[in-house]
Amino acid sequence: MQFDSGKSRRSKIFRKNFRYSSILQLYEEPPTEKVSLSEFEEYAIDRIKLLKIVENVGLKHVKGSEEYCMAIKKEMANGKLEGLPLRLKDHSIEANLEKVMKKDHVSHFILRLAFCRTEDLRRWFLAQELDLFKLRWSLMTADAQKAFMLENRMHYNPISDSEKSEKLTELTASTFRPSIHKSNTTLALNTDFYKVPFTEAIELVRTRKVYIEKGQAYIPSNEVIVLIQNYFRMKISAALVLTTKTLSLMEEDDRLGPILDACAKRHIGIEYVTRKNIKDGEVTPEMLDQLSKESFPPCMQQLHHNLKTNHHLKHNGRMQYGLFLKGIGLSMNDAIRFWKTEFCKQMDGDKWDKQYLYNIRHNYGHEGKRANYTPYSCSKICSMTPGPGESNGCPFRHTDASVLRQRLQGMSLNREGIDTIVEFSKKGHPQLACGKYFDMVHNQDIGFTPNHPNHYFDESRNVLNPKVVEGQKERPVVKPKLVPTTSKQPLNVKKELENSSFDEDLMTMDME
Amino acid sequence: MSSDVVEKSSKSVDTFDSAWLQDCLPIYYRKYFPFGPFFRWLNYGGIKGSGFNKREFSFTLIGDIYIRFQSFKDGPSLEKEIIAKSPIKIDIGALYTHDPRNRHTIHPAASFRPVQRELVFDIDMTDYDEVRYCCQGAQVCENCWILMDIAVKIIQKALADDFGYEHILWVFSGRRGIHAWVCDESARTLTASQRSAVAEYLVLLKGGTDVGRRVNLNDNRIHSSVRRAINIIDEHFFKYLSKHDIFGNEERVQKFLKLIPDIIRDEVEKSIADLETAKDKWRAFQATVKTFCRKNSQKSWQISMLAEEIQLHFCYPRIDIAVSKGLNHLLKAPFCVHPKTGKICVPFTADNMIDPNNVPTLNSLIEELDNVPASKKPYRHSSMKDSINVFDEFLKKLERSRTGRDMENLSLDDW
Repeated sequence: MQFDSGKSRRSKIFRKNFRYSSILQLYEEPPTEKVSLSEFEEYAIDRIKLLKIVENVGLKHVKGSEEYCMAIKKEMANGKLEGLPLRLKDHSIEANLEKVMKKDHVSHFILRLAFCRTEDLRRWFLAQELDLFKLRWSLMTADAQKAFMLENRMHYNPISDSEKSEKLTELTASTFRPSIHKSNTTLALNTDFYKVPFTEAIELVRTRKVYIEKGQAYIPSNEVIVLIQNYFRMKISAALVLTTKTLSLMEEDDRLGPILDACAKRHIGIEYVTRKNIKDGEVTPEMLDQLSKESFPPCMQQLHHNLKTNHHLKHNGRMQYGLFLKGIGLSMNDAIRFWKTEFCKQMDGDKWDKQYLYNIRHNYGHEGKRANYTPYSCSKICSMTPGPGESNGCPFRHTDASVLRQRLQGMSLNREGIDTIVEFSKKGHPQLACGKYFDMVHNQDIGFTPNHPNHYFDESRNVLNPKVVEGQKERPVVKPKLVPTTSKQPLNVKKELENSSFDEDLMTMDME
Repeated sequence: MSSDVVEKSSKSVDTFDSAWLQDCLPIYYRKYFPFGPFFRWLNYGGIKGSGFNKREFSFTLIGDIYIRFQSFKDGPSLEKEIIAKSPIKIDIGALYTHDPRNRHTIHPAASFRPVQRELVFDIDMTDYDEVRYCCQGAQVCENCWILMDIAVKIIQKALADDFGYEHILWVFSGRRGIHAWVCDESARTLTASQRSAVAEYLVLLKGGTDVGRRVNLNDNRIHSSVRRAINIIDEHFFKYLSKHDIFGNEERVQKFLKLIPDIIRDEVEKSIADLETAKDKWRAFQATVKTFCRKNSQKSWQISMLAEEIQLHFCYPRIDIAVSKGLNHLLKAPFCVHPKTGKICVPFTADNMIDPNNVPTLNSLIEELDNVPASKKPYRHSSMKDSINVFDEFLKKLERSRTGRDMENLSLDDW
C-alpha cells in the first residue's frame, strides 16, 4: 500500500482500518477506489447471488435459526462465494481483509445503482440487505457488537432507577409477555431501558412491543438491535431514493448501463406481466370458479369467494385480486366484464362505469401514467394490513389462528397437516404455511415454497396438468425443489444480454 | 344485508339535489365559510416558509368533476377561487417540494413529491356494521354514535399520552364518520413508514371479512395502551349494551357464541339462557369465565382475558388506516358541506362529542342568514358559532406553541 503525504488521506486509512473490525458496515460513504470493469461485473453478480441465497433460504427456514444459518453457509459454499463472507473469522481472511471489505463495500453500492429504479426492486434489495445485515450481526460476538455501536456513535443511555420505578407497572405490562414461571416485575427491574424518540423504533411501536409515553419509546436492552436495524434500513432506503436521481447519468454510460440493467433484471425474474408463455385471454371469467378451487392460492380463493358472495371488494382487495387475474392471463376486456357482472348484482352499471372502470383500465396500463402494473408478490401482500371488511392480505398472516384452523378443517385436510400449517402461521412464516398447504391439496411432497401468488398458480397448473404450459418443453411433472439460482448457470451478464430469449431463460432458471 | 336493519323513518338523507347545491353553495362560501381562520390554520402562523403555496387542494365540482393539484399563493386567492368555483367538496392534500400547479415543469419529474402532511385518521361508521344493531351502511343514529364516541376518546388519549401530540383537530365528516387532523409539527413531518407505524399501533382488531373474534390477547402482552382502551370501553360498555342488545335474538346469540372458544362455549350458552337483560347476560358470562379460570388453572391462560377481548371486539376503534399511512392521501377539509346530507363538516372536541343529527346544515344556515346583523361575520352569529369557537381554541393553542409572536396581534378574522 502506498502512503502519500496528505494528512487527510492518512487519517482516512486509519479510520478505515478501525472500521474494519467487523464485516458489518453501514455503507454510509460511497467507495472511492478504482474498480476495473470486469471486477465491477464480478462484484455485482456475486452480491446478487448472495442476496438470492439469503432470500431463498429465508423462504424455507425460520430466519435466525440454526438451520437457516447452516443452509446459507452451505449454499454460499456451493456458489463459491468466499469473496463475500458472513463474518471475518471465516478461514484465513484476515490476510486479504482489505480486499474483502472493498468487495463488500463496492458490490453493495453497485447494486444500489441497479436496484434503485422501481419500488419493487428497491423493496426486494432492501429486504435482502437487511436480512444479510441481521445475519451478520447475529454472528458477531457481544464485544464486536458493542465495538460496532461505539464506532458508529450509537450511544444509548439507560433511564435512571427512579424513572424506572415510577413507570414500572407500564414498562412491565407493555414490554414482557405474561409468564407463569417468572415475575415480570423482577425482569423489568433487571433490564436496562433506553429512551428514544418513537420514530427511531417504529417496528417495535407498530407491534406494540414497547412502552411509549409522550413520544418517547422505552426500549429494553435485548431489543436494541432493532434500533440499529432501523437505522440501517432508514439510511439505505433514503439512499436508494437519492440514487434514483443520479440514474440518468449512469444510463448514459454505455459501459455500466447494460450491466446494471441486466443486474436488475435477474433479480427475482418472475415478473409475471412480462412472461411470454402467458397469452392474454388464456383465462376467461367463466373459468375462474373452477380455477379458484383447483389452483388459486388461499389469499386469492378468499378474495374470489368474497367477491362472489358480497358482489363487492374494497380497493386493496380489487388491486390484489385484479392484478393477480391479469397475471394468470385474464384480458382487460374480460376483466371488465367479470368485475362489472359481479358488482352490478348490487349496483347499477352507470355507477360502476363511473367508479370502477378506471381502476381496472389503470391496472392494465390504459389510464393515468400508463404503467404496466405487476401482480403483488407475497412479501407485498404480507406487508398489507387489512382492516375490517377487507379481505385482501394473506390468510396465513392476517387470519386469526383459530379461524384459520376452522377454515382448513372445512376443506377436510388431515389433522396433522393442519397443525403444521397453523403452527407455521402462528410463528410468522406465512410462506412456509402456504407451501405446506400447496403440498397437501396437491398430494405432493415437493417442498415448494411460493413467493408469489402467480407462482403458486403456475406451479399448481403444472402439477395438475403438465402439458398445458407452452414454451416449456421438457418440463418435469414434479420439480424437485426450489434451488437458488446460483447453481451451475453461466453467469456472464453480457452473454445473457446477447441471448435473445433472455427473459424466458431467466424465468425458467429462477423457477427451478 | 341483514334482517336487523331498523328502518329510520323520519330522516330522509338525500334531500339535496344538485340544483339546490348550485344555488346555495356560493352563498355558503361567501357568507359562512371561515376563510380567515381556515387560512391561518394551514399557514401555520409562518410568515415565511410555511409553504402554504405548495399545499395541494383539490376540488370536486358539481357533476363529479374532479380537479387535483390546485395551489394558492395566499388566503385571499384561495378564497377567490373557492367562491368562484363553489366546489361541492374541498380536499386538502400534502405540502409538496414544489408548487403543485407547476408540477409538470419540474425536472426530473421524480423530484416532485410530498414532504409534509398532517397525520390524519378516518373512522367510518360503515366499518361498524357487524357490531351495531340500529343502522347499517350510510345511516347513523345516536345509538351507533356511542361507538364513535368511544373511538374518539381512545384515539385522543393515545395520540396525546403515548405520542405526545397536542394539536388534534376533530372534524365531523358530514354523514357517518369523523376525521382527526394531528397538526403538531413533529406529526406533520413524519415519514410514510412512521405514519403507518403510528396507525398500526392504534389498530388492534384483525381485519378480514369472516374472522371470528377480532382480538386475541392470549399470546400477547396487555400493552398499557390496550389496558387504557379497555378502561375507557368499560365506562361506556353498559350504555352500548343497552342500545345494542348483542343477545337480542337467537341469531345474535349464535353470533356471540361464535366468539367464544370451544372449551367454554357450552357453559356460557347455559349461563345466559334464562336471563332477561343484556346486562345480566353479560355479567353472567363474565362470572362463567372467572369460575372456569379458577377451576381449571392450567387452561385459564386461553380465556383469562376473554371478556376484555370481546369488549374490544365490539367497541375498539375501527380506523381506515390507508388514509393515515400515505403523505399524499387527500382528506376532505373542515367546513365543507356534505353534498348528500347538506351537513357542515364542523370541528368538535373529544370531550364534547358531536351529535351527527344536530349540526348546522346548508338549509338551516341559509334560513338563519336573515337574522345575522349585516356588520357581523355570519359564522360567528349563527348555529355555526360553537364549532367556530372550537376551531379558534385549536388555532390559539397551535399558535401559542410557535415562537413567532406576531400572529397574536391579528384579529381573529383577518388575513
